[in-house]
Amino acid sequence: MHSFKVLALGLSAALVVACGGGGNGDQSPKIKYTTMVVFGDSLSDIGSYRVGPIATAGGGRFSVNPANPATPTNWTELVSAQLGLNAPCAARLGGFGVAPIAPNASTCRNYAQGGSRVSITEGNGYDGVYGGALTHPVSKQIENYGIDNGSANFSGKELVTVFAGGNDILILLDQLKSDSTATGQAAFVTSLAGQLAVGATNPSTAGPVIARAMANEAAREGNTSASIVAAAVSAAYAAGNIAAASPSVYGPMVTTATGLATDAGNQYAATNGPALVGQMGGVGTTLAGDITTNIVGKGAKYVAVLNLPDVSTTPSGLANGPATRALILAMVNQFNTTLKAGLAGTPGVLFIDTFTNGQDQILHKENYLLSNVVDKACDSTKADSSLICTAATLITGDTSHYLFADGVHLTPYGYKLLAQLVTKEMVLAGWL
Amino acid sequence: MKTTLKFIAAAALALTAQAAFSQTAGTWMARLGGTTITPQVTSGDMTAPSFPNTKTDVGAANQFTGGVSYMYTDNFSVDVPITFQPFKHKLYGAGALAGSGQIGEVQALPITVFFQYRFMEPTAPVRPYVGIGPTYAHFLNESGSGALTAMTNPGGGTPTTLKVDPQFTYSVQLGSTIAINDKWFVDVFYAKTPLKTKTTFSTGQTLDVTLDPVSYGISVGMKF
Repeated sequence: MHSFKVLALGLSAALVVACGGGGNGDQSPKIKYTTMVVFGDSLSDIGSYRVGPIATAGGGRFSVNPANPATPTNWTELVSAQLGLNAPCAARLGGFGVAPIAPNASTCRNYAQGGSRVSITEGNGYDGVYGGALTHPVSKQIENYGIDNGSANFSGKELVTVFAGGNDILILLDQLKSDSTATGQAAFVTSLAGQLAVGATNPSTAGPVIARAMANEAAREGNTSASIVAAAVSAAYAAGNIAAASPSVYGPMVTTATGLATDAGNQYAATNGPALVGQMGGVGTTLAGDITTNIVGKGAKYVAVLNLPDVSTTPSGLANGPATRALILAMVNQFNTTLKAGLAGTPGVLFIDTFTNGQDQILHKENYLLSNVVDKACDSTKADSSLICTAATLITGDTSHYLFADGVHLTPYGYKLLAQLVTKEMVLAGWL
Repeated sequence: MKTTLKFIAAAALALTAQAAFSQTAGTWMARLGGTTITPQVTSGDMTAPSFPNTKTDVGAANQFTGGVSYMYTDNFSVDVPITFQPFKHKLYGAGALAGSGQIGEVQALPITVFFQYRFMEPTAPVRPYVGIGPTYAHFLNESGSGALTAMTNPGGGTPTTLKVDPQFTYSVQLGSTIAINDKWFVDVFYAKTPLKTKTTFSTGQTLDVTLDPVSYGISVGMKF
């Protein structure tokens, strides 16, 4: 009897349980933002080029484009939704043959464009007009904000994001590569022409003649390494080096010249590469100056600045040799260092370290449920840029948890992880 | 410890020298008061996908509580603490999320039956006791904040929810009743509960947390 009473009491305590119901806590952000203003490049672009052929292909974002273009995919869209703002839109729409317009100057505040650099007009895919990408640099994006807004000022209630610098690295690197190749080719011509001229009737005049023949062939559409060698050999033969016609004679000469050319190209890259590191430092300082003067200096109080992720470990970076990858990493580090230094102590700036988080994603992909952090989800034979990548142009297999869509851009899952980093840092800063 | 108890006993004795209080076999006692539960949190890391070192912390909670005790013998008793409302514990970010502030709330409803041994004579004005008993830790009304949603599913349109697994465990207890007069008494106790549980988020991650709460309370009661 007594124990029964005790049991009854236990049950009465348990009765409270039955009254419980689930629920969501307060979901409203700590700060009530009026809008989100986005400056940057393809990594923040949500459809600047969704026109003409790009729209037809179902593209517009630099990712795996969703079937419904309204589906938030880019990190800026996810953050915007988390802030409770209306769906964002590209501030300029055009390119790829379509004259750019401002679709809705009063509300569209995403100025980020694929290919954009920090301050140089000629970005990735820029053709001088609007036949290719528009690539307004960040400096011009900020000017355009002033035009659309009717004033260059910020109210202090916007969330402003800045994420740029990647195209500066890619373009500087492309320039270094093409200059190195040209240097190597010149060394090849000099070496082979010199070797072939030795057996000619008049070696001193034959050298330049053979070199000119090689240059002419190199300038011809459809030339190959073999056709350039053939042009050199026939020019040498005409100049009296009969023996040169035999592969056993010119073959070793080509081998020697190729070795010299490779050395010369590498030497050029090794000599001139370090200068690019310094240039990226300058780019970082320029961007920091733009932010402090033209964004924070104009009244913005919530400015999230993302540093550059490690470009050397993207599929695009991995396609290079170790020396070039080391150079890319040094360029990224220098840019990030000067960007951070230039923003140090600036009120209202939240520096978001995508570099460190990105490296952690690659080192510990399982912690992020990433299935692949080195390959491209998009089939490059069907979509060479993720700008036109859709479900129809993916490689076979499950790519839903790949990090990269193409050489440098993220999959929707990759962008979600980036959005999480940004929102986490905003929460820690008391901004969300 | 013994000296401390003796000291308390002596002090109480001085206050209640005239009381004729007794806890003999068959005595029923009921009490009302308050209890504080303070989790001693050791958080695991949130499972994937998550940032390295993602942890949580759980705040203390106070609640009005009561209890009923029955003396089986002059020394052995059974005690059922009663919680009228669940304890509302705030969840905070810790580790990589340190500084995030509150990320959620969970309500705890511990149900325990203590088997106690009460020292001293039934008539002693101060009767220290020790107790041990099974505990069922039930959690309810778990809710996540906007910050939790932001960090786990930004812009996904669905607030992140969480569920804390209930656990069977046990509690050990140290306490004392102090007689005020022949009817009324004051009860104080301190208890420890080893408790490990798992939180599952609607976004798929789980988080193992050792809570090991300590609780202490003070009540005023009467005997029947």
